[in-house]
Amino acid sequence: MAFKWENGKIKRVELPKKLPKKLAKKLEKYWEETEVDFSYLDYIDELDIKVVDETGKTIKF
Amino acid sequence: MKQVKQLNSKIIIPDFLNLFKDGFKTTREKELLVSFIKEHNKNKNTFYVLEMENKSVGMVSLKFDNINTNPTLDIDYIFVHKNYRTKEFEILGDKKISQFLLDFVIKNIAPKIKSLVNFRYISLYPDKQNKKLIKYYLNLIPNSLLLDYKKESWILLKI
Repeated sequence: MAFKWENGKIKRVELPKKLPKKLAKKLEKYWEETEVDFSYLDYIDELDIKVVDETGKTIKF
Repeated sequence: MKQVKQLNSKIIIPDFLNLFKDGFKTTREKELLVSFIKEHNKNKNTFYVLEMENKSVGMVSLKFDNINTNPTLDIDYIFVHKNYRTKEFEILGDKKISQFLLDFVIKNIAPKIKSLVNFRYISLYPDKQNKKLIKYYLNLIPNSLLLDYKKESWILLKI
């Protein structure tokens, strides 16, 4: 959700474009050192979900 | 029968809202969706709508963004019809719709886009910055990073 409600109005929230050094370092460290294991998502392969475009044509994933 | 429909071309607002007729819990939800449709119609995002038994039950909106010059695929909005929230569905691997949509983006859409145009992260801004929701997402997305900056919390996942 990249909108928020502020003073009764909808306001767009943007990702920070320029982070302070400490946070930039934290983000870079996460990128370099984190091993992400996506095996918990394997269940999706068994669901046989069809993905289509607006015309109903199948999109291959 | 279940399928995900990708929407890229212009959406007529009343027609799209009608897909989720009686599916809004609050006016805020409806108004937020209208904001996303308006951005969609300016080619700023793509919608993926989950249909079950020919009924639209949820959707996710995606767009490109960047953090500190690192390209990201931003999960802009996840919406679930109010009658389908909190329930787990066997045809979705016993997952809730919001969880399925999130997993579907990470497992199917993100790698497909990354194979064509490189990017580093999937990003997510938890609605209302609700602490319980932040915890819920961190739990749903293993190895993700919580980044707090200027009173805003973002969840990032390395892809």
